[in-house]
Amino acid sequence: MKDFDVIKNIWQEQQEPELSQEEILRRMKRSRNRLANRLLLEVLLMSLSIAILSYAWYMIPFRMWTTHLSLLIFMACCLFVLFAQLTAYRSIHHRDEMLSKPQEYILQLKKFQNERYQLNTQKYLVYTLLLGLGLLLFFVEIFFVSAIWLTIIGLGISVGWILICYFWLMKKYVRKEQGYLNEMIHHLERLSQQFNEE
Amino acid sequence: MVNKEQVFKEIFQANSRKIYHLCYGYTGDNDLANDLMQETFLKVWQNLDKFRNQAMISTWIYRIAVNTCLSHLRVEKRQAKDELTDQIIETKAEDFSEKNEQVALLYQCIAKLEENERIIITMVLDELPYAEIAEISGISEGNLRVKIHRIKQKLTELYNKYERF
Repeated sequence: MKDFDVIKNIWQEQQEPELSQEEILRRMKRSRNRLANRLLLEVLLMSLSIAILSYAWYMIPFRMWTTHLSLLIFMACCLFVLFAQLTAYRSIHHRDEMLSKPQEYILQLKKFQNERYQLNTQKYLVYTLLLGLGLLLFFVEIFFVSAIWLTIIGLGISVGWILICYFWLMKKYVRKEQGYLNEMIHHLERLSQQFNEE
Repeated sequence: MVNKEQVFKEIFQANSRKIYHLCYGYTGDNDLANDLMQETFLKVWQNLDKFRNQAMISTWIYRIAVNTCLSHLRVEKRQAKDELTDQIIETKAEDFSEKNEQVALLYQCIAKLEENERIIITMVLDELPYAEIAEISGISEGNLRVKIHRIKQKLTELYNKYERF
């Protein structure tokens, strides 16, 4: 029959692992660079889209107000995605709440998870609707200046892709993330209860 | 940058073993403990400038480690394990001495405790002052003493029960 002091001795006499700080530093730099590169690529792609849209808007003499409105909507969508990416990046990499007390940290994590869920569901729906509206408005002018079959094919492909993204790819992604979210919230609630127990 | 790396190295040397104990105690898994410790020190590195003037830097590191452990959700298991091929911890040849078996059993018993109990008991076993544990876990010292008393009893019972088998 061992008492706690004996258990403590066993703990303190455990074989110490040899920890390599160089390896930790090397991995940290690698993961930091990977994330930074990914973000940079996304920002560049969005900036490029905005630049192409601006160039097209400036160079092509669109005649109808619907086209101007559609380009404005497209640019707003790009800016929204850019903003969402940067906000997500900031919240992941500048999280002061890591220094919070565990109970507060758990609440902040829940908030972050809910924000992610809202972004992937409600905000993505608004984004899809705006993109669809933008396309419809854009194709009004196309309809008047080009052959009808061209308008139908162009609109069909564009709307088809949006529908695939919304009803298949995004639903799949949200289902996966929601499963994770539910597990996370369940876990956090249990932890919260543990910390609040007297 | 060189100075930052030097500061980081000193912090790492002073705290890594205890942080590893905490992560291992929490997960009961060597690979996951490695991952969580790495994540903790990544956050330490990112926040190093904020720490410069902190008197109790270990308290902050522990708090980051605790929060990292709490937000861990076995997600790592779903991720590719390619990065684990070169271990941070250089595993020595297995030594099945009685002492090692006792340590392994102790980790198994800790794994049977609640999450917050695992975190608290590893800090107690590493002899952190109660005031510091209270500060890290955000629990009042009085409440913490009651908890620690209960966890010690629970762990001792578990250890003695499993040692008999």
